Amino acid sequence: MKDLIILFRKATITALMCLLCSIAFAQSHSVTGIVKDVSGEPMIGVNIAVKGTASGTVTDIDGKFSLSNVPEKAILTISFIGYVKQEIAVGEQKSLNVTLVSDSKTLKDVVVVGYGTMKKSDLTGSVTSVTSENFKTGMDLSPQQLMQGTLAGVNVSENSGKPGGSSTIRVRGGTSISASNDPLFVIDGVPISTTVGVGNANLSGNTGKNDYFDQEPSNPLSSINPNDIESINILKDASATAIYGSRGANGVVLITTKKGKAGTEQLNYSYSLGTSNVTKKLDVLTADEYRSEIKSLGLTIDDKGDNANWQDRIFHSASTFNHYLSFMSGNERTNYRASLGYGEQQGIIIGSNMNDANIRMNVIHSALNDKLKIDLRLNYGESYTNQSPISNTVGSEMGTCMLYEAYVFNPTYPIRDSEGNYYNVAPYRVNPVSFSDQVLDKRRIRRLIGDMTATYNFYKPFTFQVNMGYNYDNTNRNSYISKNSLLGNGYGGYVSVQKLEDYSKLLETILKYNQSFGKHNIDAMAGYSYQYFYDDMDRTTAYGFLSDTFKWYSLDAAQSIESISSSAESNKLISMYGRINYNYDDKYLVTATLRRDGSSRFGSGHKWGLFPSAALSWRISKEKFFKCNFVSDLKLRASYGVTGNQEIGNYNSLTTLGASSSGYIVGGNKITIVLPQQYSNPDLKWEQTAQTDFGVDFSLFNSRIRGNVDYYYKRTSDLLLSVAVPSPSLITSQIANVGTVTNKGIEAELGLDVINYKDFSWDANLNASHNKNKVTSLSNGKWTGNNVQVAPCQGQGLSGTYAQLIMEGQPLGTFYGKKFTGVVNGVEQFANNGAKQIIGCAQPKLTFGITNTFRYKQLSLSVMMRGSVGNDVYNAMANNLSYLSYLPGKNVLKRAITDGVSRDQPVTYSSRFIENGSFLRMDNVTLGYDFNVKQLLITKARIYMSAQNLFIITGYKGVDPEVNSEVSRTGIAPLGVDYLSYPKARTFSFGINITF
Amino acid sequence: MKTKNVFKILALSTGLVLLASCTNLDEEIYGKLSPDTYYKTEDEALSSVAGVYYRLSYMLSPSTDGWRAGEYGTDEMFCPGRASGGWYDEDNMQMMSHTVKSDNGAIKRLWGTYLFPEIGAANAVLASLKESPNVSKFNGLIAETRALRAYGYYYAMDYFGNVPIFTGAKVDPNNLPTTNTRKDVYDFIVTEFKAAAKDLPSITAVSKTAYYPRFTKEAIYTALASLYLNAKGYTGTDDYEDVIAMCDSVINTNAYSLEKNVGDCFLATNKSKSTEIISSFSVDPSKNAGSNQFILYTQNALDQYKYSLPFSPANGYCFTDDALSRYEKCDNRLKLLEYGPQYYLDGVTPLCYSNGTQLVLTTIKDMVSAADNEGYRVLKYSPIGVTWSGYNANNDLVLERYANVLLMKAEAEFRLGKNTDDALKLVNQIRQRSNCPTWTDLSLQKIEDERAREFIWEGQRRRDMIRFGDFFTGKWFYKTTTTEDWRGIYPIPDYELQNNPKLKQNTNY
Repeated sequence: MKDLIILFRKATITALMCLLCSIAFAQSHSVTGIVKDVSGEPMIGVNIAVKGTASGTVTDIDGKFSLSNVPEKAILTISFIGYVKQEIAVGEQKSLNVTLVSDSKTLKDVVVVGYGTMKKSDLTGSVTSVTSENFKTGMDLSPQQLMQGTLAGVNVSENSGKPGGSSTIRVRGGTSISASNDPLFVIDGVPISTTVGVGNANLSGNTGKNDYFDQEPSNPLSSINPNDIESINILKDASATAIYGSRGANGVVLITTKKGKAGTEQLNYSYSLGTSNVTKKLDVLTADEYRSEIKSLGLTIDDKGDNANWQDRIFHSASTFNHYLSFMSGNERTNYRASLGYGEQQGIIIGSNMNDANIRMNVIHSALNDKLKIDLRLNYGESYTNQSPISNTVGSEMGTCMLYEAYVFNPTYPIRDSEGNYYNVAPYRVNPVSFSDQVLDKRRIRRLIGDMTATYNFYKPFTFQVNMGYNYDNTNRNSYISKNSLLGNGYGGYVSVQKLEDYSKLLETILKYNQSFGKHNIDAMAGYSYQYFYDDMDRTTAYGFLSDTFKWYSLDAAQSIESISSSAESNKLISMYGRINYNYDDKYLVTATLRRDGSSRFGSGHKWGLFPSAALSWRISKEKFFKCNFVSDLKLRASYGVTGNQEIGNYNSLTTLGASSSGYIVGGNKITIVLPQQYSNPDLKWEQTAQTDFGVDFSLFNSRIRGNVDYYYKRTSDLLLSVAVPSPSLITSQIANVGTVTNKGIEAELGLDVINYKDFSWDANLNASHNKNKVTSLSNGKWTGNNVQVAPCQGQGLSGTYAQLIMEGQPLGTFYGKKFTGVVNGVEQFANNGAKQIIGCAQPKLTFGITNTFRYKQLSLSVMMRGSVGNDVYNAMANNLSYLSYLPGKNVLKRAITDGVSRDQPVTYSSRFIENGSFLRMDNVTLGYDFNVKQLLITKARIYMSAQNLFIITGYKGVDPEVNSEVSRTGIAPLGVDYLSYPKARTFSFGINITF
Repeated sequence: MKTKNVFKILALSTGLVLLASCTNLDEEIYGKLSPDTYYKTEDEALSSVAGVYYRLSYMLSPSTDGWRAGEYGTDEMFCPGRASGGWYDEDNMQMMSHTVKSDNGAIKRLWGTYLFPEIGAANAVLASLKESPNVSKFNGLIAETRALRAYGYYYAMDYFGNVPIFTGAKVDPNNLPTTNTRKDVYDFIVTEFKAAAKDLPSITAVSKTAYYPRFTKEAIYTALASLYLNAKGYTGTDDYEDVIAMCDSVINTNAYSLEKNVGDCFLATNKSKSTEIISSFSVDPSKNAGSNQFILYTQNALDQYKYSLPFSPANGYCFTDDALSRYEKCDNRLKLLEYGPQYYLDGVTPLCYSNGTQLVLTTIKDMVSAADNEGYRVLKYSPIGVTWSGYNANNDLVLERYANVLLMKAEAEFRLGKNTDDALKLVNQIRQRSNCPTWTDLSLQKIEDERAREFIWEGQRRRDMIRFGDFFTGKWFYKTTTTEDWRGIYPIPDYELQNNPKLKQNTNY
C-alpha cells in the first residue's frame, strides 16, 4: 500500500517541484510545519498551497516545509497523490503538524498504459489492473497467477502443477488458430519475446523420438519475482492496445516493478514455508479388484503378490520455502530499490523440483534541475529444475510417461525385485518409480532483463525519451536415460544435451507533448521503435556409456554420437507510432492512435501494416444536468481499432533448402541430405483484428461501489493459418492468410466496500466474463478452406483420431465425434450409425472470480474463488483407461467394469468422454496478522497462513477440469483436453514478513 | 556545471544516433539455402537426390505404414493386440480384415506421409536441377530422380489405383491436380521408367562398391518387369512378353546370381557385396543415415537373450499356420522362420522365461489380446552380424533381388504357355537353392506358393495375391469371407479429398 503511494508520489514529484518552485512569493507572514503519514514517516514532496492564491511549496526530505507571506485568514491545502486532501485554517498557528491519511480509492485511479501512465478517469480504452496490495499470497506464485481470477476478460490457467510451470493467458478469447494467442508481455516498458517459450519447447524431443521428456515450454516470466511487482495492467480493447500495433491483438500485459522511495531507508525480509499434496488420484482398480477382474475374464494373471496403488508411489508431500530480501533508499535526486529472492520447491511427483534465485536493481536519478530523469532497471534470474518425464503426447503402448505408467502399471507388483532392481514388464511397461532416478531431465534457465530510460524535458511542454532494453535468455537442458532403464532399451545410457540462447534488443525514441489551454488538455506522443530478436540452439544426442556416471558431464565417454544439430534465426520489428489524448474539461475525452509496424517475417510488399484506433469517452457525471447524488462518477466509453498478429515464426515467406538430420549412404560414404524445408508464400501478411468496444465505468455512493461493464466485438481476419498443401508435396503444410474468427463478449468488474468501520471492514471484488467465439470463415480466394482437425487423441487405439474440429460457424474448441447413446449387451451404441457430429465445446459460457477481504483490527482474511461455467472437457485419460481390453497388460479405471462395455470392444472416442467442465475453485484463502510494532526497530511485521487450491466443486470425473493439454510446439494447442498433465497441488503455507 | 554538460551531451548524441535509425526489414538467414542458387556441382545435386532415395526407402522400412501396406491384408502377416498392453490398432485391423474405410489413419499416412511427399520431393528436386545453369552435368541424376518419382507412383498406383499425375515443382492451389485413371498412371510410370533407364548406367558400367545403392538400368528393368507382370490388374490388358524382355535384360548382364542362402541377401554384413540384390536402400544408423527396426518390431522380448540384443524387442508382427503350412520340412527357408519351442543359437539350450518355462511360439489365437508367445516370426533381416545403434540395425533394405527376376520370368513364360521348360528350370533354380525337391511340372498355384515361400514379408505378397486372385476369393485366419473386387485398391484418404476437392474417391468407398 505504502509502496504504491510512494510510487505515484515519485512519479509526480518532479513535475510538482518544477511547477511550484517557479512560483514567486510576495508576502511576509510565515508558517512552517511537518507532514507525516499515519505510521509517523515524514513525507517528501507533499504539495502545500495557499487556497485561492498561486503561492505554495512542497515538503523536503524530512517532511518539512516553510511558507512565507501567508495571509492571516488563509487556508492551506495539503495534498499528495494517493492521500486524502486536507484543508487547514492557519489562523494564529506558526507551526503545523499534519498527518495525511492514505486514500485507497484514488490510487486505483492511476493506471499504466502503453508508453506512459494515465488517470483512470481519463481512460478511453478498456484497461484492467491489479496492484501489489491485491496480490494473492502463497507459495511459488508466478506473475501470471497473481492476476488469475481477479480480472474480467483475462483468463489465466496453469498448464500444469509442475515446479516452474507455465500458464496460458487468453485476453477476451483466442483470436488466432495457428499463430500465437498469447498476449504481449511488457516488463517495465520492454516487450518480451514470446518466441523464447517456443524455443524452450523446441528443446524437447526431436521428430517424435524421446518425446517422453516434458514438453511444456518454460514460463517466460519465471525470472521475475512476484514480490518485485508493483502492478500488472492489462490492455484489452483496441484503443488501449493499438499503440502496440502488431502485437496487440491478443491483449497486452504490462508489468511494472517497484521503485525506491526518496527519504526512506527500508529493509524488508520475508520468508515462507509450504507443503503441497496432490488433490485427486484416479480411481483405478486395486490389486484385489485387478486380480478378480482378470480371473473373471478368464485371463492369465502375472501376480507378484503386492497390493499397491502406484499413484501413491510417485506422489509425495512436497515442501517448499522462499526467502526474499529487499532494500530501498533514496534522496530527492537518486533513489533505488534492490532485492534478492531465493526459493526451493519440490514437486508433488518424486524426483521433480526447482531452485531459483533472482536479483533486481531499480535506480532512478534526476539531473538538470529534474529536467532529465534516468531510470535503470536490471533483473537477473536463474532457475534449476529437475523435471519429471511427463509428456502429454505419449502413452500409446510403450511406457513413456511416468504418470501414465502410474495409472496402468500392474498393482500386484512391488517396486523392486529381490535383487533390488526395479520391476519392469518388458517390453512396454516401465516401472513408474524408476523414472524418478533413471530418467533425468535437468533444465537451467538464466535470464537477464535490462532497461534504461532517459527522459528529457528539453522545452516546456515537450519531453524526449529514449528507451534502451536488452533481454538475454539462456537455457540448458540436459537429459539422461540410465543404462538400466527399460526406456533407454538398447542404448546403454542415452544423453541429450541442448542449449538455447536468445537475445533481443530494443531501441525506442519518443517525443511527448503535454499542454493545457484553459479547459483543453492535450497529451500527445510520437515514437519510433526498433526491436531485434535473435536465437540459436544446438543439440547433441549420444549413447553407449560404460557407466551412468558420465552422463552429459562427459560426452566424450559416449560410444556413439547419435545426432548433432544446430540452428539460428532472427527477426526484426520496426515501428512508428503516435497517440493523441484530448481532454476537454475532464468531460469529453478523445484518444487517437496510429501505429505503423514493419516485420521481417512477412513477404516483401506486405511487411508493413497500419494499425489505427480511436476512442471517445464521456464523463456524464460531470455534466451540469446530471444530478444524481449517489453517483460519484459515471463514464461512457466507445472505441474502435485494428491490431495485428505476427507470431508465426520466422522465414515463412521464403522458400528454403536445408540439411536434414539424417543422411544417406552412397558408396559407403554418408551424403548430407539437402531438401526443401518450406515453400515460399510471398503473399504472407499481417493477421488483423478489428475490435469495437463499448464500456461504462461507474462509481457509486462515494466510491463504495465501483466497477465497469464492457461489451466488445473482435473480428480477426486474414488469419495466419497453417493450411494443408495438396499432394504431391514434400511440404505438407504452409502458413497462409486464410479465414476469419470473431469473439464477442461482455465482461464486468465490481468492487464493493461492504462494511467499512475502523476496526472491521469487508471488501468484495467480483468479476465475470462471457465470451462467444466463432470461426466465421476458413477460406480465401486462393486457398480452399478445410475444416482443421485438432487435438489429436492420444493412446492405444486412439491415435489418428482427432477430438476437435475447427469448422466454419462453430467456435474454436468444438468437440467432434460419435454421439454415445448407451451400452447394449456390452457394445457401445452411437447415434446416427456412429456418424461424427458436434458433441461439445471447450469454450466456457462464463468465467468469474470473487475475492472477499475481511479485516478485524490487525487480523485479515482474504478468500478468493474462481470458476467457469458451461465448458466441456474431453476426459482423454478416461477414454484410455475405461476399456477392459487393456487388461491384463494395463490397469484400468473402476468404471471400465461398471460401465459394462465388453472386453472385445475397441477403444473409441465419443461423447461418452466429453464431460461438463464447470467448476468453482477455492483458489486462495489467506489469514494474516499484522503486529503492532511501533516502538521496536521493526516498522512492520506480518504473519500469514495461506491455502492454495483448497478445494474444487465440480461434476467432472477426471483429476481437474481446468486443463491445458498438449502445450506443444507444433500444431494448434487444443482447449479442454485432459490428458497426462502434471497435476495441480493443494498447498498450505506459512509466511512472515518483516520491514525494518 | 560539469555533470550537467555531460548529461546534455549524452542526451543529444543519443538523439542523433536514433535519427539515423534503420527501416531495413530483410530477413537474415542462417544455415539455410535457396533452391535458385544451390545446385552448382554434382555433389550438391546428389545431396538432394539422396534425400529422395531416403524418402522412398520409407516404403521398405519395417516400422512404417509404407512397408506394412504391402503385407497387411495378406495371409502372411498380422499384428495382434498384445495382452501385455500394446499393438492393438483399429486402423491396422481394418487393413488386415479388408474393411478399410476412407478415414483410416494408416492409409492417410501411406499417402500423406510416405508416398506423395516422396513424389513431391522428386518433383521439387527435378525442377531445381533442370533450372540449374549446370544442368548438363546432371543427366544421370535427373534420370535417377525421374525413376524415384516413377517408383513412388508405382506404389501409389498399386495401392490407390486412380491418383493425380503431377510433375510441377509445387502445386498451385488455384490449379489443383485432378485424378488420373489407373491406366493413365500406369502409362506414365512406364514412360518415365523407360526414359530414366536410358540415362542410367548399367550395373556393368559402374563400380559396384562406389555406386551402390543407386539405381542402375537393371534396377529399373526389374521394376518394369514387376509392373508389366501385374499389367492385367492395372490396365485390363496383360503384357507378359515385356516381362520376359525386361527380365532378360537383367539376366543377360550376367552381373547377378543367387546367393547361397536367401537370408544372405539381408545380412548387415553383405550390402553391396551381395550378388543377388538388384535394388536396395542403404541403412547405417551409426552414421545417422537411416535405420532398420525390423527386429524391434517383430521379435519376442526373450530374443534379447537369444541374440544378445542390446534391447528387448517389442513383439509386434507375426504370422500363422496359414503361411507356415506352405513350407515343406526340408525347406531351408524354414530357418528364416521362428515357430514352436525356441532355443538359444546353439539350438539345444531352451529359451526360457524367468520362471523357467520355455518360450513356445504358437499360431495367433486372439487378435485383440494375444499372449506373448502367439504368432510365428520371420527373420529376414537377421540380427546376426548387425552393428546396433540402440534398437536400430544396419541391414540395408532390399527392394528387388535376382530371385524375383527369375520367378517373374518363369511366371510370364508359364502364363504365355511358351518356354514352359525354361519356366520350370527357373522355378527349380529357386527351389534347389533352398534344398527343396525339384518339380517336374508347374501350375499357377505352385508358382504363387513358391513366390509366397520365397518372398515372405518382402512386400510382394499383397500384389501377388491380387494377381492370382486369392486376395479376393481366399479365406484364412483373420479373413473369413470373400472380398469384393473393388477392395483391390484402397480408398483415397478423406483428408486428401478435403485438401483437394478435385480428387475423385475410388468406386464403392
